[in-house]
Amino acid sequence: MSDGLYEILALAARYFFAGLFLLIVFRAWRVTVRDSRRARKLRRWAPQTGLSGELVVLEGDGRARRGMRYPVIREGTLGSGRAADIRVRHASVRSRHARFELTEEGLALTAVSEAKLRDGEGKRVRKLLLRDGDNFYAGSVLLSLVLIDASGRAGDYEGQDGGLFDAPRVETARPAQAAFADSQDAAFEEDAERWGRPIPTREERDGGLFERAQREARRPASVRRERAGDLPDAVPGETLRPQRPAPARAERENSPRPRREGVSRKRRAAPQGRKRADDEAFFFDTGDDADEDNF
Amino acid sequence: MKGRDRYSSADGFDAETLFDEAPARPRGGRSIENMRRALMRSNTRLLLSAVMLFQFTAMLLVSLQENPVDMQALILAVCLPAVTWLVTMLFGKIWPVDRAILILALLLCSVGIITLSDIARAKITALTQAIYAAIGIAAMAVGIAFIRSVRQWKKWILPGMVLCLGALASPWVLGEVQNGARNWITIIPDQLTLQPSEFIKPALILILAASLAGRPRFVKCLPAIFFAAACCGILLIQRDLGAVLLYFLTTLLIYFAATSNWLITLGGLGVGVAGSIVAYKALPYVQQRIAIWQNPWSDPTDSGVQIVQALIAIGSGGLFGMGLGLGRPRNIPLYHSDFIFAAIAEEFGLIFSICLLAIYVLIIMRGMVVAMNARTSFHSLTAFGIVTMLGLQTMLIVGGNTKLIPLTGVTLPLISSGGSSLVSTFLSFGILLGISSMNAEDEARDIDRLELREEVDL
Repeated sequence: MSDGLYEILALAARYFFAGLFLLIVFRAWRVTVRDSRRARKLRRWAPQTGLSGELVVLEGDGRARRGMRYPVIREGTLGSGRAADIRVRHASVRSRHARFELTEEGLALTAVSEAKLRDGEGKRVRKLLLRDGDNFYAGSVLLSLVLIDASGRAGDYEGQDGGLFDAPRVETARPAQAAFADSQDAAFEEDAERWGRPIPTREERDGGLFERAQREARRPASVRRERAGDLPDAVPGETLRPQRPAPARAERENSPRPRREGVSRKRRAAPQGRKRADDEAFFFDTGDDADEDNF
Repeated sequence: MKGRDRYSSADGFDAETLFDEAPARPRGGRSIENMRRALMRSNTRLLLSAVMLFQFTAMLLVSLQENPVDMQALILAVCLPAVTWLVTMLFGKIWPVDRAILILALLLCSVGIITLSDIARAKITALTQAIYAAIGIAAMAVGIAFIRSVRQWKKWILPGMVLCLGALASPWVLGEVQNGARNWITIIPDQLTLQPSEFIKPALILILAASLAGRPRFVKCLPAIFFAAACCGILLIQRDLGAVLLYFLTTLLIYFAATSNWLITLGGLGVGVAGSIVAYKALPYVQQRIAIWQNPWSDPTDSGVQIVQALIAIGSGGLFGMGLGLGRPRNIPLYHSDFIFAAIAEEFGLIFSICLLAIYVLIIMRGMVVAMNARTSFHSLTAFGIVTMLGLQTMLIVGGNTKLIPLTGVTLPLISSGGSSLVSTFLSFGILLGISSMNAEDEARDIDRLELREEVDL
């Protein structure tokens, strides 16, 4: 190509490149904005996004009264101070009382310096490993742990040697139907034998859970179980928590949104196996851009 | 507990359970499928198509510069978009990575290859950069797999520190002086050299994140702080001031993000400022750098030639540039590495350059979102450190090119010529994408739970 022709082409192309880059930037910006809207929507629909469970006060007074619940994130600090991720405001709880971290076996709690940490029987300990339904004392406040994805009952603990590159054991809410359970059936069956109960199929579990939820909703408050230890045995993936009657639909739709200003903004989910999603439609939009207003 | 007691603490912490009361959600026939569709990630096809179009047309134009056509550029015109498409699809299939970050990173890399194809004196420069890019993409995959696999990172803090310090000090034994700094290792004489400080960057971030995760007390942070200080000291002796500045600022920002301790952070900043003043007084080359920055026109043909030529080039470009292949970037010393931004501004123009910076900003924004959504403080700090370092490096080099700040010896990430920088930046991006993939999987799990709640009407 001659120099003159190339020069004309290059001079014309610079406007094309500038326009194309503006399009790229604009498109990337739009993608970013849509993703942030999508994330906000998810948090609005599922406020428990990123939470691992909750701590329920069984014995306490003052600002840490019986019945109060504190959302539990993946890892953080339990204390009475402002910077604590779980803020239990009680005189016996230090500002930084204990560090907690959700592991494959449960919630590992470690007392900070000389903070008083006792197990459910009142014995003072430095470290605790809590399962779903376990109780412990932080100071003089008795707390009970409720996990979203509970894989076993309290006390069923078997140490697991984790190497540096070992993938964590998958403990999902719906082990038989988890979206990411592709080739882990053998591991799940092994888990089933270990825990001594069958992993329910989707139909069995869903039917059972739905019926159980319906029964709990119809049960009067006076006979509703108050202590976590009295609740029925957990099916893997089912949480142990005192049930409240589901409000009527009209009441629910008319009631204001529950306040969430005190909830920690650190939305972290339970630790579970990193598996590729079989539902690729989730990650690959097969159609046009998802219209966030059309749902 | 009777009825629906509402226990709320006086300071506004809502202790109401989050699991018993469903928030108001759209009703009236809205299916789970519609909800899932509304929560699906944005479509990046148009973005990918635009990037591929740019790569093809730009390289095609470069290939037409010569008579007959430049075959290497023509091959790259086909390979660049093909590789971009392939990597995006492949990585997206294997892991649910943030495809927008991936596409933008590949775009930046291709801008570097296109620019080098146009301005480099030797054709081998562009080809070498393309080969390094391919190695970098492999390193990115390694980074993704690595961060997804590692569970017990605290075990590797001490061995990592020892390894990093040894690697940083290795140029004293194996290295040679290049461009006034002794921070290169010769692998193959006159052919292949390695800059260890580039590979220590992601390692530094990982070690700092592992040490500072969990908001430890100041005493427990001291080993990490001493490690970072030792790295800075070694680089200072090697006269790699850009890397010193980068390491120092990244460490400071990661520490603040981990602990929110204003006192220590400002104290560290004060120590840094004091160190800078001492370095200025004690080291002649620092004084020279500052003097050149203050008035490069005082010696425009010798010590100030870099900045002067860069400013002339940027000004010559105007809004739309002089045109690909029509500028004179070779007048700028180190036009292929430190001053490639000025070369791009000359040929592509101010609008293009600003868009380039906007792409860096978008990557940093998305990286920050990845950091905020990370499930553990280690991953959060790692993602934060990676985007912080990317942003600081970009600011340092662009600021130096435009005479905003004194010139440092850092490269423009993913664009400047240099294998070590390119591969280590891709490795960092791989770690960032790996964290984003883990976030996506956890998010999908949350949506699964949401679906379950909808089905049982809890």
